[in-house]
Amino acid sequence: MSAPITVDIWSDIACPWCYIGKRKFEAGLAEFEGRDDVEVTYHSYELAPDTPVDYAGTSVDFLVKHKGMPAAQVEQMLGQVTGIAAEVGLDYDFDSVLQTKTLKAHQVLHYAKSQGLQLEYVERLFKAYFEQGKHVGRDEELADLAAEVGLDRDAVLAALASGEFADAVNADIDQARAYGISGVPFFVINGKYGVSGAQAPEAFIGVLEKVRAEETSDV
Amino acid sequence: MSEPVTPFQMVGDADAGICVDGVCALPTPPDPDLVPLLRTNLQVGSAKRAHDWGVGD
Repeated sequence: MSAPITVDIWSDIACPWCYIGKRKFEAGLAEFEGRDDVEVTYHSYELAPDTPVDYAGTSVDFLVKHKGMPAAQVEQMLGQVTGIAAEVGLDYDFDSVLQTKTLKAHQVLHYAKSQGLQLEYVERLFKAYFEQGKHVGRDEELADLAAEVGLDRDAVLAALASGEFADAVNADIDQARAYGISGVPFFVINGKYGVSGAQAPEAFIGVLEKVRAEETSDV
Repeated sequence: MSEPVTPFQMVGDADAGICVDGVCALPTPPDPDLVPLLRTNLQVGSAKRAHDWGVGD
């Protein structure tokens, strides 16, 4: 029996390319013969840590006011991203997105990991944020979404109140910095190969097959 | 766009969609209609990316 292939993914809930990249990775993984031996772990990355928890404005407002981009260009960019998302089956609705600080969402993702439900929760968070206009920055809403995937709502609230997973989030962010990761999504395959951005499924298939071939040749 | 400097062997296309510093660049190579948009994104994100995409200085 061969060792599992590890895939470590740095991403942020508020990152449109991360959800698109997730779908493309999953499409590649589905085509990989050794998919049952692949272990996927999500790691924290705050794309815009200066975002307030309750931002009173749209995605366009945020990019215009916080990043200094012209509104017309932001609207064009978001429109194009929405189109690309649709190509992978995602129904982005930037008009309903509630911009927020994602630090607490990352804490709950670590809690979910400790309960073996991280993959379910990260998918729920992405969908809530990009497709359903749900708030993913406040304790109560994060706990509600956690309960939907089978996590203990009260335990989530307790973990957030205690800050139990704050160090784990910071460790992920520090690790990204140490690795030189400057943007997300970023995939690390078996601790050896890096895949930056929302690559085509074929890129993921290729690197997974390469890793598997290397493992076989090492035996 | 160049690959980030990491300890990993980078694989895949260099122009995949990626978010940097709160701004999400489009993966398509520059064309005349998009250059102003790309310039804005890249100025916010990374001057080096602007150079690599051929829309910088």
